[in-house]
Amino acid sequence: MAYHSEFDNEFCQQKRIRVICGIPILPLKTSTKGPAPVQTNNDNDIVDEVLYYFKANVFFRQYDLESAADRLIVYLTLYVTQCLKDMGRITNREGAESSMALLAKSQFPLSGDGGFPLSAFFEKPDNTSDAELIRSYFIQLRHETGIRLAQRVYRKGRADKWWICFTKKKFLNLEL
Amino acid sequence: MTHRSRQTYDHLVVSTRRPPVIIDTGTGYTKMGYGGNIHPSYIVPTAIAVNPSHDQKAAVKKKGAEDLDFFIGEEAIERSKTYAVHYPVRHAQVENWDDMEHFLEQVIFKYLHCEPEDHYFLMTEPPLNAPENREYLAEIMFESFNVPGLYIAVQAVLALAASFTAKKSRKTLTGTVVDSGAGVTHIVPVADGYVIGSCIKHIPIAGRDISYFIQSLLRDHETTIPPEDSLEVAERIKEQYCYVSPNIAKEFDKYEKEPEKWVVTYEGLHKKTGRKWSCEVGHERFLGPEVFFNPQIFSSDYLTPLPEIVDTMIQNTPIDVRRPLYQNIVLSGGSTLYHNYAKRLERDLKKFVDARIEKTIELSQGRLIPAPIEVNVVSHKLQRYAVWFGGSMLAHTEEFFKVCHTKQQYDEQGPSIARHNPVFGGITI
Repeated sequence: MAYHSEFDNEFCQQKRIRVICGIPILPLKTSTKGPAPVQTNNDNDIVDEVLYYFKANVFFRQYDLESAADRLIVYLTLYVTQCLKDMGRITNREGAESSMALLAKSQFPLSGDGGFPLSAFFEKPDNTSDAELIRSYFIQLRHETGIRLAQRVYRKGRADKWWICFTKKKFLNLEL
Repeated sequence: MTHRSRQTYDHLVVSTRRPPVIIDTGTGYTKMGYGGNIHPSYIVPTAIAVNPSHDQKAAVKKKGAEDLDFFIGEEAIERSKTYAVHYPVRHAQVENWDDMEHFLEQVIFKYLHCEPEDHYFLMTEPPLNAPENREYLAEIMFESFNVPGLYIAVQAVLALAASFTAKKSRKTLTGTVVDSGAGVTHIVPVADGYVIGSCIKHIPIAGRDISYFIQSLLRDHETTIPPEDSLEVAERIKEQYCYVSPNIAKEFDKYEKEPEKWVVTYEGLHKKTGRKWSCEVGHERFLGPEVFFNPQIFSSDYLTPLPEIVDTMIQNTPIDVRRPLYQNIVLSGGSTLYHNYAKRLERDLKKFVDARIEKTIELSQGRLIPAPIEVNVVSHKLQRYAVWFGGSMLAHTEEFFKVCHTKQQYDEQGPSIARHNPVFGGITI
């Protein structure tokens, strides 16, 4: 069985977390700007969860959504693979971090756009204001994921082969 | 020997004094030895190397000794450069009987050094073997080797008997056998020594697939392994370092935080140049055996985990044997040797069983509370060649000589005496 998010629907209801088009706007431990509320304590947030489960989840070819937050797991797991592909060519951490910042903000498709590989998992936004909010939320998520991934991969200075080896794995047989 | 038993065995004079020969031909290894022993005398790869040049010439001109120019076991594998290596057993079934006959010839004369005329033979067959295969085997054993008696035993039943040595064992011939070797994994329900043929399940995932998986994982992060040896290296790593983990995400975390504690270094010699090389082995250690519990990480067409198959298999058996089948799940074969394999199988099975009981309670709104079902996975020291050891035990009993097909019967009736295996009781073919 693949691993699922702990921020399940019950959690979202309890904490009164906004859910837009089936995507919960979860708090993040971050300093980057965006719509996500800032998490002040040191508990794991959704990005930590994705990175913790990444190596195990990336092997799976099927994934059943158990809660809304699982959509973020699916998207970000694929995004991590994309990041690792870049990191395979970069030798130091500074280079990786700046490259991740660029990658986070580069053009990317979202639900409702053409070429989005996960349309089976996501709902289309109803109006442009929702669509914009989701886009800025995803930029924030991508940015935060990239930075934290770089911290882990370059902990010992150069790229860790125990991360880079997952570059060729295709979660759900898909690519972003 | 008592007076009565002497009478019974009068016609066996010579044969009973010599121990029966037990040969278990598996996809990967053949286990051979004498009945009554605890360990097989030899375990060799089920491989035969024939000289390819004789193959073509054989029909044209025969000088006489070409058919002796072959090797089996390790010797065959060593000669893979100059000879053609064949594996006569595929997915637990014998595929090439000519090769098999040659193979058995060396097993008997070169390894066991025995006169087949003087010993009874116990051979094994996989569950659901074709009756024709039993006939071929009888033909080879009685006509080529002139054995006085032959018994063809079903591997699962022998494995069940072998589990009697375990402390946890209930010493019954009712139980579920999970037999996983190199080629295929069988799950076989046995009730009172009879195989419930209609419920047998096969899983196309076994030791060799784990080796392939480890090979592909290594390729992604190690560049020092000589490509021509990579499968063999994967096999060695599988045998030396692999174990079953309770939770792979946690395990990955451990490896990331304390690599010096978990990552091991494997050292090898380059076969051609003789140069030393080394590589690091990390998550392969627990991901290899994980293939049984999450096949989708490796295969795209086979997705059901082993515990789920065991559970549905038991649910398909007659209702009165289900509890004993859950209570006595016996492991056998090389691919069940991983550390914690039994524990994980037991835990995952319990989940299914408990969920079902909860559902019953819920549906009956608390009016029906079934007695809890005990799930017991038995693991023991002789698991690696459990089938062979079970055969050795069986051949040590007095009954063994009574149930054997004898040369006399064969001469009267022909190979059809082996067609029917009484262990599948009821089914008459």
